[in-house]
Amino acid sequence: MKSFPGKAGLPRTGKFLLWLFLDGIDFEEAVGDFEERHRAILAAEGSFRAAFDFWTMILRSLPGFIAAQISWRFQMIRNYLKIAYRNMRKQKAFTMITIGGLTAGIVCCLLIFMYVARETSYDRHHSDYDRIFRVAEEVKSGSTTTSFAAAGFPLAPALKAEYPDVEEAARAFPIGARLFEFGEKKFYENRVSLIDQGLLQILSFPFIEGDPRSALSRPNTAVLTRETARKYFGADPAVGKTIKFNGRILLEITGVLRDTPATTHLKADWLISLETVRATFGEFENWHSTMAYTYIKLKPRTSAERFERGLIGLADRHVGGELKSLGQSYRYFLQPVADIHLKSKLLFEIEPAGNAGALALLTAAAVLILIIAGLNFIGLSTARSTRRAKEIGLRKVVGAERKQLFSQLLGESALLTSLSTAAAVLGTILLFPVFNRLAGTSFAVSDLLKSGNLLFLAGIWLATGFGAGIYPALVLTSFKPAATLKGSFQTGRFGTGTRKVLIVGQFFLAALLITGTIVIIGQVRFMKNQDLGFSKDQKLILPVRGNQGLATRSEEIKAAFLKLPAVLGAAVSSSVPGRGTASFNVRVFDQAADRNWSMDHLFIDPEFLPLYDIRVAAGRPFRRDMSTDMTRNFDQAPAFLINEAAVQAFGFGSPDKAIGQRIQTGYGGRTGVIIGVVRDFHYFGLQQEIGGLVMEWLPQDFNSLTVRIQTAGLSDTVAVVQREWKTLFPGIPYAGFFLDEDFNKQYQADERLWGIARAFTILGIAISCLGLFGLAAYVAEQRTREIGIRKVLGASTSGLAFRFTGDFVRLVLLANILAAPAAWFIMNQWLRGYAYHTRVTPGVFVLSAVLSLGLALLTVGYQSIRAAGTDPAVSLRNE
Amino acid sequence: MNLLSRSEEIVLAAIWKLANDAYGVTIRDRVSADTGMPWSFGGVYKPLKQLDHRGFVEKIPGRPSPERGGRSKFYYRLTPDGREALRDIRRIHQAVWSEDLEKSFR
Repeated sequence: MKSFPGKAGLPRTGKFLLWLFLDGIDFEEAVGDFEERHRAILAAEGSFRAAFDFWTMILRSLPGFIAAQISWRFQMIRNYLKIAYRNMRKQKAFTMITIGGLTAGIVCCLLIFMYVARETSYDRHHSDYDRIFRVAEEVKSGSTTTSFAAAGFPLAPALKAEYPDVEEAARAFPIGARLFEFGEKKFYENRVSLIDQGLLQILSFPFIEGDPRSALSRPNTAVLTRETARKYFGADPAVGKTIKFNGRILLEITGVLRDTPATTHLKADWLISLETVRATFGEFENWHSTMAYTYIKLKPRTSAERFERGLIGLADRHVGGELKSLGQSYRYFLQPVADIHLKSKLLFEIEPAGNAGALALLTAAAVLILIIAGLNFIGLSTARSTRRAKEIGLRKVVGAERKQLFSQLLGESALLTSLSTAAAVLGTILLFPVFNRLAGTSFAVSDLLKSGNLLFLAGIWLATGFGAGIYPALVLTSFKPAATLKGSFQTGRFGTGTRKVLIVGQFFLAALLITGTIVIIGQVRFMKNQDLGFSKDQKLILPVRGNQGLATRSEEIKAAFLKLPAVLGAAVSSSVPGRGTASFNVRVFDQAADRNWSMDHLFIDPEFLPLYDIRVAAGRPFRRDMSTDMTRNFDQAPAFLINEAAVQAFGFGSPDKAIGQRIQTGYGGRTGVIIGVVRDFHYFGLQQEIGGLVMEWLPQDFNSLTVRIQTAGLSDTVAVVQREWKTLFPGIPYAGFFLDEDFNKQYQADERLWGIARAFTILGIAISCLGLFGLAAYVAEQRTREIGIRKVLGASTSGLAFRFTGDFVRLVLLANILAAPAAWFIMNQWLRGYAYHTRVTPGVFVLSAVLSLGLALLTVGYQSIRAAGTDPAVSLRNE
Repeated sequence: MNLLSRSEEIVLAAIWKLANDAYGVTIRDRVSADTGMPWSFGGVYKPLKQLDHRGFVEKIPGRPSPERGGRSKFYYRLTPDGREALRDIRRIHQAVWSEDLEKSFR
């Protein structure tokens, strides 16, 4: 049978495999040998056997091919490395720019990746975290709906008793700063939680000593972290010791925790059994409080959605009648524990939520920077490649195959990216201290070596090595050797289009970064300079907790501080701006009786408003000479001040009309008269809108003393105040803080973001400028002859420099114009997350454009002036 | 002294035996027959390449032939150095496999 050549030939894939591993005559030889054998078997035993034999032969040959490649290639690779090294040395500046840009990009990406990975890892260390939820509460009251992170205390027991899908339900009750005493050692501890034993079964607390199954099952037991234990007991064993808590309760230590990871929303140094306070704490039967953070672990394979639907009507079954009379309804919903840190925006959240928007912005910035660095790398490599056209041409002439050249050039890119990656790892380690300060993290070398980070690094290395190396390699190997050797290639049109696209692309991304940073800076400044409606300067806050009696001794205590010459004023209150307040329902009389409003409550004395410079809009503030202003006991009808937002909410129309209105507060169910309206002031931060506020002079709830002090001699003043504190409250550690610092902590997240964004923007711009510098240098060199001829023909130096610069500036301008709408859209999305925010004005874009143009001018200008200034005699003789 | 590896030795001997008809297919067949194992082409090319590199064989392009899809055969021929290397290895074999050792295997 006669066979067609094509049919008798080898399978295409097989041939391709051979081609991959063999070069030149080796490939010829192998294809010939394979084909001869193939034909022989085909003729003797048929096509099936032939194909089978062929493929087994190929597969069995691969190890041999690869081994031959390696031993043979070793020589070539040495040669390639030598060439690469010589090229790098010959163009030192160029190489530095290429490597430097990529290094900076990788450092950025790595740091941001580590940061994002950390932020998203919150509460994922609990075993079965996907079955663990927090049950939060949505309170509907009249027209307002408010969601709380915490619920009433009876919720957890009810969930466990009534829902078979619940494996365990337990409560946590973080109680803030408390005094702990062991012999002479007394400390205020800030991270203290009262918890049910069951919580130890739900969340994975890392026990070193003690049994998580029973450590807190008895009242008056506590578990603490190793670090904390060391503070009280030194090297002695902690378990079995007894410690005094809150001045009177004795606790037995039953366990020690390894220090809890920083990536959890419920950070605790002390866990105390909740049973301890059952007798004294009157909230255990109260469904209406929002104090108990309720966690549940569902049984495996339980649908969270179905379970959540089952929670409807839970509150009604227990306290339906009361809810009806209050005009409220409660709905419970689930929050996956791993989502709390980034997604929970509920009231009474245990710690300020992470900023998911910021993370998205950062990730975007990282990607942008890496793309900029990659484009930069491509741009510089292609520019450089034209210089190597002669080398490549000669190699082709003496018989190099395109495949070989391709792998050589790709290898060179890989070499450069490897150097960059290595430098980036070093750079990242060096930058850890700076970044930790900036982002409030605590990264160390050991964190870098985690498998996820290494994998990421390897991914970046491969992606940039190949992604950025493949284009220059393709371009270079496509040259016609004749053209490159003749020299016509040097001034050829290659690359101008590509280069333009690269420059525009880089500066488009850089403009996004610059605009974003300007907007973020603007927003942070806006928040800091916003008229808060009160003065936060020169205020020293002294929290007075527990049974130390600001309620009864407030006048005496204030007088003692006022005696100090540096103290200019003093006031007491239930909270201070920035620390939030409790809220209760308020009902207005003379209106439909079923209307209720949830109002924040603040309890103050008459000195509070003048001390904080809070202005009165109508009526009068509390006055000491009016005996009815102060609420001495709960039977007395109180006098109220409200803010303008409350006037709005109640619908009084104007502040003046609010005076004399009677309202009933949900706090004790007392009815009183509004005697004054104050201007709105930001008692929460600027992230939250000002809500309705009701103020009452109720000494029994006072717990914060505000002292206004002189600015001069601040540290002396603080020392004096501390001494006074010691005589007034012997044995109680001093815990004073400055209001402005505390208040500004709310903006810490944004300031951090600003700091990080600024650092990365500078980097991104620097990389872009590096690239521009390199390209300008290259183009200047390419156009020496053109510039020389132009000069000979009478062009002026300034005119030439202008023309040369103009080429680049046009591109940068175009990039800015393209970037403006994108930046506008993105930043508006971001600003929407703030209740009070600046606007993205056209000025922002102008500023951003001016900045990047200025930088581009600086970068290119030097090259243009140098190129234009060259003596034509020199530049023309050059060739 | 830079000795031949075992695979180089086998391939080199095969080329010597094949004399004027030593190219990929025949070498592989011969080597497979000599050793009683089916060698792959890859297994033959690797020692061939090394032998070529060390100057023990020379590679001579032949005529294109139709049974090879119009590709050339590449013939291999021993160089004087190759012959020397083969002789060396034989001498070493004889020295190593002394009479007593041979006897113990009989």
